[in-house]
Amino acid sequence: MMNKKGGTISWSWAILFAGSFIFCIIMFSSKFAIDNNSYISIDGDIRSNNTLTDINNTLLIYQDQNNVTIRGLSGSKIESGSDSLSRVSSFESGDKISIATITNATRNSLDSILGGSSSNNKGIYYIAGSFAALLGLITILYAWKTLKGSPD
Amino acid sequence: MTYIYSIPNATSGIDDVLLQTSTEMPSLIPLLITSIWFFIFLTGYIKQRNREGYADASQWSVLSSLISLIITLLFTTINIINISILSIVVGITILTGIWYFLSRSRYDN
Repeated sequence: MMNKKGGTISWSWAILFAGSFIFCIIMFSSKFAIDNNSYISIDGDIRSNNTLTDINNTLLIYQDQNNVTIRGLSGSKIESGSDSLSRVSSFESGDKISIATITNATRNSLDSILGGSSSNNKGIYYIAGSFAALLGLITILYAWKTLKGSPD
Repeated sequence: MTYIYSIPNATSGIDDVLLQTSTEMPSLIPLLITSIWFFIFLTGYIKQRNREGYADASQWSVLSSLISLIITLLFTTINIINISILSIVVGITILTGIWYFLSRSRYDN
């Protein structure tokens, strides 16, 4: 995706601009509906509200767990002769919660765009099946080309 | 003469015609937004390719997505689209924006 000129600074600026763009688009869509008394508002999307609730709940759980572990960590003392902690439990909950948040957000975004995998609408499975069939065909053609030469 | 769908009442104004037609055929407004997207994308892409020798697909996709989003937001004030279409348009706008900011053509000049 990036060429040779795109280093760490380019990636950082690209991610910063993409995040600002997402924030601005969602805020613009939301505030437009509020200002103009729209009949339809993106704030009324059920999946977005579910995602927001999920993220809030997981962040609250993370905050509680982190408070407990960091309190235990600051209250502990290192005995003489031991120079390292056996576990980094204050960071262990963060991994799981980050993965759960990203998974939830991705699944809800795909549900909104591709038609939903959990409801009665199974459109995403048709798209995924077609894509898997295409990948299988390409794999077979590559194998054929490797063994027998050009497929045409 | 019998029609296969109910004809809109044209005496009550052109806005009522649009509203009644979209009520009768709910795919009208998504098709209109899709045609606007492809019109801006293809005309800009082909014109830039003919004039400059190269064309930036991500730039024209984000531009057409933004214009489609603004038209969709205007449609939300008269209740002729639903929440899923608005979510899809916002999602496509965000995805094309990410594509634009991560594309290599921003660094090639």
